[in-house]
Amino acid sequence: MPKQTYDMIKSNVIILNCIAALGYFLSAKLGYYISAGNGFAMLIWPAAGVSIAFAIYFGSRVWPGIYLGAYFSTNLFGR
Amino acid sequence: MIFDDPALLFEAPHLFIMASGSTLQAVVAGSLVRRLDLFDHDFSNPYKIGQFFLLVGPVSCLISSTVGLITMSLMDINSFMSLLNEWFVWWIADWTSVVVVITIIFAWIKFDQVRRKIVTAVLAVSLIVTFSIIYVGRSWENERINLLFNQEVLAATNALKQIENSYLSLLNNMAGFKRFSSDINKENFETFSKNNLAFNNTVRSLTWINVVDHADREEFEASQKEVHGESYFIWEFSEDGSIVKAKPREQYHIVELIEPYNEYKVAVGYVIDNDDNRINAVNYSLENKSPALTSLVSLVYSEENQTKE
Repeated sequence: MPKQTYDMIKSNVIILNCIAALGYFLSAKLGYYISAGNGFAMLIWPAAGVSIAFAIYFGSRVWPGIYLGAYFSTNLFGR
Repeated sequence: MIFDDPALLFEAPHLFIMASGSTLQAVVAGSLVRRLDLFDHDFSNPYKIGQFFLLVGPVSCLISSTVGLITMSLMDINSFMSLLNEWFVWWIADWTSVVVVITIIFAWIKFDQVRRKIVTAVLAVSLIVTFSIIYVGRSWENERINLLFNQEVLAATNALKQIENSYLSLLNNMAGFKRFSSDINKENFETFSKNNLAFNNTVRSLTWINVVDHADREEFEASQKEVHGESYFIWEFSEDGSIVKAKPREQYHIVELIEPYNEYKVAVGYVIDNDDNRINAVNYSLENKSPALTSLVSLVYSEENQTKE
């Protein structure tokens, strides 16, 4: 990723949170399809890794995005 | 979704709490990694690598699974023991997924080109093999479940067809019996029933229901007393469930004969008019000249009702 784009995303909290929510949701969807819906505990849950990676890179200000992504994935995929 | 149904906020608060658990897990892991300065290293210090993966893996992943377990347990969504099993799978799944995903992301962002290619290739091959095994395993499992399901359905269908055929052949025999018997009485109904019930293991008893007009009630009752004894009367259940003489009505549908008689004779004289289930079937059958099937009916000669005698 070009440094300019990275800096722009990093400095804009709204865009950052949108990307975090989308990243969480898409990786949750991937986990859901891989695990074929085994109840609350999926066998593979990449969303957990994606959310932690976001928190490590961008700090705790991404929590609203992670929360949104987590809420929608919990609602739709049961986890 | 909450936007379609705002009541969900109150009906399914566990969804919000579980989402909070996932968020808390990420925020705590991120904060600890940053605070302990495990983030900006180049993955060459084994001690820091171990610390990093221990922290983001098994330690932080306890949060989401534990919050989920406590929430679902408090809301009685499942039994605690079953949830404990879910909790363990949840924790392991989060932990292993975090380790794999973080490694891939870090390899792409932090490593130089050569290390990135090596790590990516190794992880890509591992993931492809893992997913292939999961995919093939799942396909086999689906195939097995489908096969088992089809076998069960086939067995159930055959059993139901056999039962249906046995009912239909019995009904046809009864129709023939009525057509060729000038006078249906207790003796020839008993002979007919014995012959037919002996070869039919799905039917417990046979009942002959007569339709009697109110004008003929007394005459009918007198004729039945000759067959079943002086204690015979046309009866029904009262509202409180006790046996009473049938109230006058235009027409009576009366159990005239029943076999095996000694076992079920308590039902003789019973008026089925108040039993909507059976009377509807009788009327349908009479109107359409075809067999009719009812849902389960409570038999008057069941053990708890054997009080008439």
